[in-house]
Amino acid sequence: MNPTIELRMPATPEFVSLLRTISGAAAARSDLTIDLLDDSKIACSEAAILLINNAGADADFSWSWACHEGRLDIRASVPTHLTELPDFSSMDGFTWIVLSAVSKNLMVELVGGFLVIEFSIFELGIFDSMTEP
Amino acid sequence: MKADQAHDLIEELRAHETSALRSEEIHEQIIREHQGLVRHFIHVHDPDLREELIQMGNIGLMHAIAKFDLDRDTAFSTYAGTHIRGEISHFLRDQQRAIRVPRNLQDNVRKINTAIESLTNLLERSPTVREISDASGLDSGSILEALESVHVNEMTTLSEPGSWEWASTDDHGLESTEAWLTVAPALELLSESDRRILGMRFVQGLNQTEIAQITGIHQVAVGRKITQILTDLRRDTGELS
Repeated sequence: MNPTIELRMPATPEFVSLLRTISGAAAARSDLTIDLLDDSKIACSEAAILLINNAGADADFSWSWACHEGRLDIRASVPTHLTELPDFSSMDGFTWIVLSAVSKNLMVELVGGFLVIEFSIFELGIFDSMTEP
Repeated sequence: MKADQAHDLIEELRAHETSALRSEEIHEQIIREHQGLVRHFIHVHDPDLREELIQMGNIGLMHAIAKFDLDRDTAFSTYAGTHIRGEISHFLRDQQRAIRVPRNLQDNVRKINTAIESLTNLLERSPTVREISDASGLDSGSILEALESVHVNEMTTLSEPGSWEWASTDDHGLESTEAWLTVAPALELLSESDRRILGMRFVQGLNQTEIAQITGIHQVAVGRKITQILTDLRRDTGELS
């Protein structure tokens, strides 16, 4: 069984600690090591900051954590005022470097007025073939 | 270690041509050879607390290595003693402040720390929550609760500003580290030691276990430290409340 946790909440900094807690629980459910459990929390914090900084007024963001054995897939989205996708790696190098370091298969895209961010947390070597080409 | 030997090693550490590998060796040697000094300041018998205090003492020792003034007529051990004692005292004060944590939670934290340490040695990687559960007899909910409380209550334990110098001048990660500092001015708010830890983790891609080996800090303490640095940084820049 691969449970998925879904959650919707205001896209504001006050809710980031809640995201971290849920991500830790989801990582434990996926049987990740405590190093990766920490990584999942860090990644969620950084992704949340990236989304909050680009969210429309009074927006909610939606989160999902898909738990697999040894891997956690995370997806988050928020309504955005952006009309084209910026180069986040140059806009906020810090967030991007941290996110890139702790997650795999990191992807950001604009889909129908929503800014969407997806990434996975797993130990390199186990799911190497699943990394982006 | 002879007094002038530490002096010579630190001098070599700071030499421009010293490689990253050699820098790590020097750090490890100084830490290893000053364990007697660290233990000199620890007067507790509880084995778990004693281990934590040794880790704190080693953090003080790292600060001393980074800050030691080679031109002053002071033995390194005298100077290091001040930092070691300071770090241990700071930790103990925080422990006393954290006393409002329920006793059973403190017990769980102790059990979990012990399990993490032995499992990490056994498995040569950090354990999963399930493995900690099997080893400690605690359920996963209690483990997550304890890990969370540790982060909260020890958030300030390791927050003393330090000043570890970047150990390397020629490692492959440095170029991107400098680029990172350029694109992220907020990092200027951090101490050298904090930037170094973030650089090791996020630029050089070292995991917590590897950072623990280089710095001599307990693996769990490394995780706490990284979380604390990021949280403080985001608070300083107003991105987290």
